[in-house]
Amino acid sequence: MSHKNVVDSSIERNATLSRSSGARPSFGAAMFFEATKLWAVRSTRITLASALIAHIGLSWLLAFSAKASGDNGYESFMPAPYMSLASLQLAQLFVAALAALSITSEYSNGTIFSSLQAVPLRARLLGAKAAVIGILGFVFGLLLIGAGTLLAAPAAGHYGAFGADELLIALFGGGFYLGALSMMMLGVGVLLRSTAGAITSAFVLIFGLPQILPLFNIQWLQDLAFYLPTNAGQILGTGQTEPYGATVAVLVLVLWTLVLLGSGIWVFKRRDA
Amino acid sequence: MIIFQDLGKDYGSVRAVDSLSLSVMPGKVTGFLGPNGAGKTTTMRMLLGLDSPSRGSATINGVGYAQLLAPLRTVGALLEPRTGHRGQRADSHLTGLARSNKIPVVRVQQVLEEVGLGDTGKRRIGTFSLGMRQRLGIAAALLGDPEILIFDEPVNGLDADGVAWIRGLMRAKAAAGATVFVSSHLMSEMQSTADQLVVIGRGKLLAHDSMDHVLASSAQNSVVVSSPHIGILAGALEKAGFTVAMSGIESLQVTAATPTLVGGIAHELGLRINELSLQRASLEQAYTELTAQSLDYVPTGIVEES
Ligand SMILES: Nc1ncnc2c1ncn2[C@@H]1O[C@H](COP(=O)(O)OP(=O)(O)O)[C@@H](O)[C@H]1O
Ligand SMILES: [Mg+2]
Repeated sequence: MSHKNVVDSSIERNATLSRSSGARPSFGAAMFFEATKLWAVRSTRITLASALIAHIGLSWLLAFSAKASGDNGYESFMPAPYMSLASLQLAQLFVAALAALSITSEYSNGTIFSSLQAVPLRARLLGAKAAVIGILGFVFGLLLIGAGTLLAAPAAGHYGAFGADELLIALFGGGFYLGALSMMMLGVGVLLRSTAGAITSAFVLIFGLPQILPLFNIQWLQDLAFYLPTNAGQILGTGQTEPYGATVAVLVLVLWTLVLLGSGIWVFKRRDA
Repeated sequence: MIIFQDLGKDYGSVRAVDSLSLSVMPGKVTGFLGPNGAGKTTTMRMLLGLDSPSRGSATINGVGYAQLLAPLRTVGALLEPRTGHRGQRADSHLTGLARSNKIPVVRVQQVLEEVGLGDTGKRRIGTFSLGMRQRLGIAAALLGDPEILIFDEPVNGLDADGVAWIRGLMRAKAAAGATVFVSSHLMSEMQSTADQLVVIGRGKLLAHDSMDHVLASSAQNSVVVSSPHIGILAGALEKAGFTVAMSGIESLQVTAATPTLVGGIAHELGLRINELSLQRASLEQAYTELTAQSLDYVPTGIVEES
């Protein structure tokens, strides 16, 4: 076979490959890929199961103590779905860690290289991961709020009485919050590329700042605390109207997500893998 | 076809790759050689779009890697033995990759069998030995039946059987028309595998030639000649500019010569010759010669890096 023939046949072969393959790896195919990776590792299922157990345990405990306090004459009424929402304080850490790990483990395992070889368009790869992580967070949020309510309601008795609107608010608020938080933490994970760093950041963002900011005797720092993701989630999931309502709460969460995930994507596109 | 044009990469003050220009042809195994730290991995990473070049370009069929329509169907690459999440099953790792590029999922078991991991698909990657991970990486590279294969030090971690196997694989793929671009710091690996050699040192292209040429043009090629009149012959050869050394009572070793030249000189003088033979340099020697200059700088390079 002459040299020229080899070149020609290779060009022909490439042409047929291109024809049969259509467009570059599509967003849908990239999402399918990301979902496969996420679901295939045992640690994902273990983390989600742990989060579920922790969440229903805490929901039940809140309901139980509400009933005990109520029976002792204290004012302890709270709709059961809101007890479940309050319990997200614990479960959200598992979800945040899972989201951050979905990218930091790719760096520590070296899978980031094969992922980028499969889907070299970086914004597409990370966008698909964000979509999968965000949907997982949302759906898992619904599941947590629902399961927590299911356990809290009978335990709290009439101290946890609720209507359909309260259940819907908690379901949507909890789901939206967990979906947004997952995408934020994915952004942090990309920026830091380190599991330890990302989980530390999650603690600071979820527990640290909401505790620390109000300690300052400076008005705007105290006000800023209201606009932290955790507080926006709390407002969204319990239908509060003070200091702001659901619309602003959604905007606050979207903005946090845009800033953290957006800067993650921006850096991911420019940085050497 | 792979084309590097004036490709360069700096890491801070380290010039990892320096104005590299060359094309890698289909139907051949091209060995990419250089000592550790020469810039082989960096070059391959730029080709795959993992690192962005500081200067110049690296293209595949005329476009950058990220522009390829179906990357895994066009290029199969093995960069590091680490591939796949430790907690993920081998077959699921490949299935994910297949889905991303719309490769039929039946290919997963096919390539696992092709690399000799046919019955380990259900095992977690974390339980694999280094050699098995290397084979899994090669399975991932073969998944889309690509026309271009890029292997970075593929024999690392493989046993003798594995080394022979991957050599055969590369030869077979090239014979079927594929472009095979394979790096190594061990010349001995390439001698029986590569048709073309690209040698780099300190990020710079030192040689790009066919294997046969590199061997033939080596200054280490020498001629052994034996004659009863060895003294006269040695004088004449030295006068003609050759370096000679006694290699026996009646024989001489003539460096950088050919049998024709030495025979011609003996014939002119009418001297009897008992033996006249070419001693080919091993690729190892040729390589040492080529990289000797770049190696001179290695000690300073190490100081810079540490
Ligand atoms: N990410 C990096 N940051 C800084 N220096 C690097 C990086 N990657 C490679 N280098 C340096 O670039 C040079 C070439 O490295 P490499 O391409 O890995 O060589 P090879 O694969 O030929 O052994 C070396 O001096 C190495 O230390
Ligand atoms: Mg290397």
